[in-house]
Amino acid sequence: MLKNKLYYVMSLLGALIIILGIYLSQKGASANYTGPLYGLGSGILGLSLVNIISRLLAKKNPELEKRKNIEVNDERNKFLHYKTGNTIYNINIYMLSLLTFLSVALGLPLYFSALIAGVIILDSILYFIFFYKYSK
Amino acid sequence: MKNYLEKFRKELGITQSELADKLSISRQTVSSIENGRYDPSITLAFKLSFFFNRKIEEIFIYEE
Repeated sequence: MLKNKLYYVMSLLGALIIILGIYLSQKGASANYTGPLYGLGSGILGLSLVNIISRLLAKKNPELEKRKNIEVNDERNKFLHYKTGNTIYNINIYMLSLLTFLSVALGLPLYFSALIAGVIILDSILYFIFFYKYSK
Repeated sequence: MKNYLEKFRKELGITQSELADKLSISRQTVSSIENGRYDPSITLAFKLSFFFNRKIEEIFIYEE
């Protein structure tokens, strides 16, 4: 029930962000500012509406809800999610490392290279924190 | 890991979907276990053991 209310609030928030984008656009604000607002608003609104609609459909069709819960809680599906996440993490680390080298090779500003390197370091720190947490 | 899941399921005359429904797992999981592509957790192995009323080692064959 609480989640339901949250999705309604989130969809309202998404709509408000889009309206703010339109309002600022009419006031002559640059697309650099309004663009991210449209994107963020659309994302939040879309995601919330999908969740609201799927919950309404689930209420009307308990069998569908049961199927969905089985799919979500199925241990093999969970295992596949973990494995996929881990593979993506490993690929991301290589991609970020490559980006760091490329940014240096292309002579991009130092803060850009440092930012990407920072993400790699943060990723690694988080990896060890969670690994330690889950191994307890 | 090899197993006799398909044999025991067929002995009971139930489909993969029916077994999946009884154990609240997906049909794909039943299929993957039967084909040896996925080794179930110990919890699911016990569920299968209780469902077929057989010992775990009668259903699954451990090979080093």
